[in-house]
Amino acid sequence: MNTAQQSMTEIVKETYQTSGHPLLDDPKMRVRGANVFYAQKQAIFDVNLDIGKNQVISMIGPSGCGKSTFLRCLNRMNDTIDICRVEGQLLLESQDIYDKKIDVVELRARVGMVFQKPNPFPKSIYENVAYGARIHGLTDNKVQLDELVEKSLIRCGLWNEVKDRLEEPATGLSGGQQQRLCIARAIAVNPEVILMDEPCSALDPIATATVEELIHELSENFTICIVTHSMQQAARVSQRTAYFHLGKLIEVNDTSQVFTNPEHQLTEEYITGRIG
Amino acid sequence: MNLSTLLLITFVASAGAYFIGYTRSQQIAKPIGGVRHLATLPSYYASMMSIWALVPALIAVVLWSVLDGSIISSLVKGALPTEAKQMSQENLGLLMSQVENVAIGIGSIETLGIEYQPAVERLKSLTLVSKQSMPVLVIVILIIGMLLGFRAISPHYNARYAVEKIFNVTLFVCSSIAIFTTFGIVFSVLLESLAFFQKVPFFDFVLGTHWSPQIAIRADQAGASGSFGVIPLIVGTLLISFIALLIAVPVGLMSAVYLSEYASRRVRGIVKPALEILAGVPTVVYGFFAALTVAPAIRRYGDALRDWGAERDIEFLANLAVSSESALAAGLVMGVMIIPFVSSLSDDVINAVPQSLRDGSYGLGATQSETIKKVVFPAALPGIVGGVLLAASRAIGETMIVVMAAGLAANLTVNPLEAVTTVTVQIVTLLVGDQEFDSAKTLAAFALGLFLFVITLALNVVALKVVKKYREQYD
Amino acid sequence: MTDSSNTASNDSMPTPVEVDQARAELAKRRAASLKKRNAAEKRFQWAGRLSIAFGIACVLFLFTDIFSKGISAFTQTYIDVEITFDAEQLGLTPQSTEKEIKAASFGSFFKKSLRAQYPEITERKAKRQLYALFTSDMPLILRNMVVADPSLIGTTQTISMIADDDFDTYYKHSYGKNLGPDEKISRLNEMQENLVHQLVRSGAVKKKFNSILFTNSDSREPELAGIKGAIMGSILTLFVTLILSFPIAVATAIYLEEFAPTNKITDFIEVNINNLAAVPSVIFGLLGLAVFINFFGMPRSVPLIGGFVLTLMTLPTIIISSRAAIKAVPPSIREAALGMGASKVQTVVHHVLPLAMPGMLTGTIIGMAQALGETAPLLMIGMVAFIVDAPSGITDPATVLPVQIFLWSDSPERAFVEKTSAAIMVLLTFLICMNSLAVWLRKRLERRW
Repeated sequence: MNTAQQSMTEIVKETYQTSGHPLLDDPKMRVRGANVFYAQKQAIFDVNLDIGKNQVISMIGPSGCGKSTFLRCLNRMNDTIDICRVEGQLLLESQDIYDKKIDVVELRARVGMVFQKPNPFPKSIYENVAYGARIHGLTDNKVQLDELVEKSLIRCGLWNEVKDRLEEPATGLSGGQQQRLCIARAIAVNPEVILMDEPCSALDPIATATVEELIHELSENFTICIVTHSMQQAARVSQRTAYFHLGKLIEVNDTSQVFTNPEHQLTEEYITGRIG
Repeated sequence: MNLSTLLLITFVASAGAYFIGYTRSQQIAKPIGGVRHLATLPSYYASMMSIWALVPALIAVVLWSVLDGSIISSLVKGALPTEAKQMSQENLGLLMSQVENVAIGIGSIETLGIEYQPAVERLKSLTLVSKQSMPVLVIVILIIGMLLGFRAISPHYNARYAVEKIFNVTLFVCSSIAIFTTFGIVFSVLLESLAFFQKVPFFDFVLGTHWSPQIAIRADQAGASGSFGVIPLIVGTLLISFIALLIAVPVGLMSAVYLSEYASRRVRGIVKPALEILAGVPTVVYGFFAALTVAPAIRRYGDALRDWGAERDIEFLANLAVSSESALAAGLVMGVMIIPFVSSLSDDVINAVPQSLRDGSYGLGATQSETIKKVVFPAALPGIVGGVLLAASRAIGETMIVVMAAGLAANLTVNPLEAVTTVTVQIVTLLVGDQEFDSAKTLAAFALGLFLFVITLALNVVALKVVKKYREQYD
Repeated sequence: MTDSSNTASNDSMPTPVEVDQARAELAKRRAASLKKRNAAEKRFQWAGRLSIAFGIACVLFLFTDIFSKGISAFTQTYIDVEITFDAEQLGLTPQSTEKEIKAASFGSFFKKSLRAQYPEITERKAKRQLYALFTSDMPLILRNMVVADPSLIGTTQTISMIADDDFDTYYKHSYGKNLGPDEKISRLNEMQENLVHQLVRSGAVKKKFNSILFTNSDSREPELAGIKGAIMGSILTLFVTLILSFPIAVATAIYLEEFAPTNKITDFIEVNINNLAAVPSVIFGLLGLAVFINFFGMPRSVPLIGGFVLTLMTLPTIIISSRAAIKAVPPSIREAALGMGASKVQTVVHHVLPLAMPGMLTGTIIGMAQALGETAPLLMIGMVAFIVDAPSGITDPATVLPVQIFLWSDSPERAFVEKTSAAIMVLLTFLICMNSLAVWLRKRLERRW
């Protein structure tokens, strides 16, 4: 009775077909029929998408198309917003991440996240990187922790820049360094998937280039989903590209395919600059 | 004619002046083709005239009321016999009040001494003159003001400038009251304190460990020093404030955290105002609660514990002695009083921590409590410290709870079960009731007031600086 | 795993198999600590819940404690006694003048009338104990009755007499209850208790609504003490505070927000206001004592000075909230008015002030509520005197409700405890009304831009 009434008020679901190849064999993450609501307003419509293992997939689309919302569903960051509701099946290696039995803490350790604005904690550089390991109890002693911090910083190419000032506050670093520190902080936990929400939008071009290179290197061991408003960036760093439009997943394909030969009219209009 | 009638007349006249001004400006506008040919709107002419009527008359009333007492008394002193003029300041004051009493018919001239007759007569006549001439003078000033205002109404004169100028000046004068208040506080406590330190050496006051102003009064000049040691009061104040903060800081902070990070909007909407009720309850109510409910309860439990300890030969408990005016009771209740204060300050600083930091922590898989403990608290620490300092200044300056629930006995102890006294308690006890204004006892209250003012001011300045700096960090 | 600090960055890239192994290892470690972490999370949440529960419990406990202590003060015990206004005994006739009536000895008449009711009481001490069951002002009350209606002389009337506080307390709290010796609240002796018992059984003892509480001012006798004087004092003091602080605070707020140039003086004013907001209230009492009373020689104990002191004390509160209200008016409205050629003063008076008024009023009400509950500074300026008459002007000696509470709470009589609690209930009712009004005003008139 109650659910019947509820569905009356919901927006009538339109059926649509995602162009290209949204589905893969043996994906890292699998999304089926995902719908996201903010209170009564629907933000994501029936998205079906597979995310390949140790690949970079970029999500592009005009502002407000729901790409960030979708990204935040993948490690349940949307849980922090009271009015947000997620429907559908989202699997991480065949495990439903919205299952009641799943501990969101454990999930986020497996699916890490890097944000638009670099957000180092107001602590030392060392403490920032060590944070994840400390809360998850990943190391047994100080030596191991030192080693982990060092390794993470090395992987992010930050070690040489900060090794002499590990105890200084992280907020003193430059924007690009801060963002790489946030990535180092994320990979210190060794997640399987890293979600990146426009990680370069607050950075200058040189810092952007460094971070992009880093993303490329990391894709050997990590599955990376990156939301970007820059088509060039998508073309540079990702193997696959997903195009979102007004909450719908319009097209998914190999990046080269999307940018050279889009299947869907909307995709073409977007990449040629007619939708902005 | 009494003062309120006079004030009423002045206000009515000023209102009348407004109407006269309004009609007059319309009158002079008629021949030149209507109101729009005037330099400004009729209401401004009217306001100007009304101000001309009101302000000089009011100034006259205020000056007269403030000054007439002292002018009359200095004139009367002139009529006193010569030997009276050589009296000390205190005795002269006493004599003058006797003269005043005789003049208004309390006591007879015979008991006072016939030689004071001229002074009494002069006082009587001057008072009468003052009483009769003030209304006359004020009304004359009122009429002159109105005439001046009336004459100033002309088509080319822009009354708006004058009115706006006066408006601006009035605003400035009102704002400067804050400065005068501060000066008033500083000078009143400072001057009296200086007078006090002439009677009691400064270091005896600051470093003394014995406080008993009552003895000083009885022994007068001889025993005045040595009884005004402020240390026990400071220790008592700090003890009670510390107990209060021990309650208020964790409870206030944790409720703020829970309400802003965990509670649903509905729960917050109910619980927050409910907690704020505590802030709206007058301190005298807390005092009553502390003195009549909490203190006896603590004492009862203490006694029960002692008996229990005695039965079992637990020496520590068997020797337990709870005073009926324990520092614990006052501190507990004061703590409850400042909970909402701490909670709303913490709420502000916790909300000022950017969401991006929380997201960063959640994104790494931290639980909510880990995020709060390891990211939000450290980030908000300066703000929280600032809030705690403000709360401490509140606790130190709080008066009624301690007056009613803490004792008067200046024990130098840190045992919360004993009675202690505080700075504010002593200020109140020393000053309540009629006392000679320049006894060491009264002046001591001002020295304590100075001390209290300096401490709370310093705490506030530091706290506001810390909080401000913290806010700038995230703006 | 290799010691990565010495190796080149390319070697630090592990193979996929190594990565999977490492992740499985980490997953095990995470799982090991997960239970503990979730427990810590639960504990933390419970700490928050307990804190809130503690706060709310304090509110409830405070209110129920006051309520349970004070509710009994709203009734008063009366004793119906049949009195014959014997003309001969009083030496009066229905035609007697007021002066003659006032000169008559009602004291001995009252005692005689009581003795007539209890002929069995002959001992002197016992007689005194009988009189002590009634309020000591009873002869005066009888006299006033006769003054009001001289035709009573010669008639027999049943008069509801006010019971003494000891009787009242005993009857309300201990009578007819099976209490242990520790629990019994009574200052009556056995003979008096028997008298009470006798009176109750004869149906002469009644509990009525205690109108004395609201129509009388302070008194040394608890059964005759009321809060009328204190309420009048509070109203007068608040009146002075309001007519001074509201215009001054609004003017200051307007000056600081709209007209003040950015210079040292303005900064200094702002610093002063912010600091005054946190100065302990007792310091304002010292200021009032030193400046108004000692320096200007103004009278002690009067609402006028109380109002001055409370004005200085509440000004910062009202200024700060008024400034917030002015700040909330969007600049576009000022620009619109200025663009029409209005002067700065016109803009402020015609546009900004009306829009900011609800916020200012809310702040003022909250400031007034604060002033209503304030006690300490008023003690300093002598509003703590024992005053039997209700003040009728702002220069009459007066006390205020919170000070009355303070005075009563200090009184040794048990009956004053309930009076104090009742006065607190009245004070809290006023405060709740004022705060509700502020909340209502804010909700009603709040504008969102």
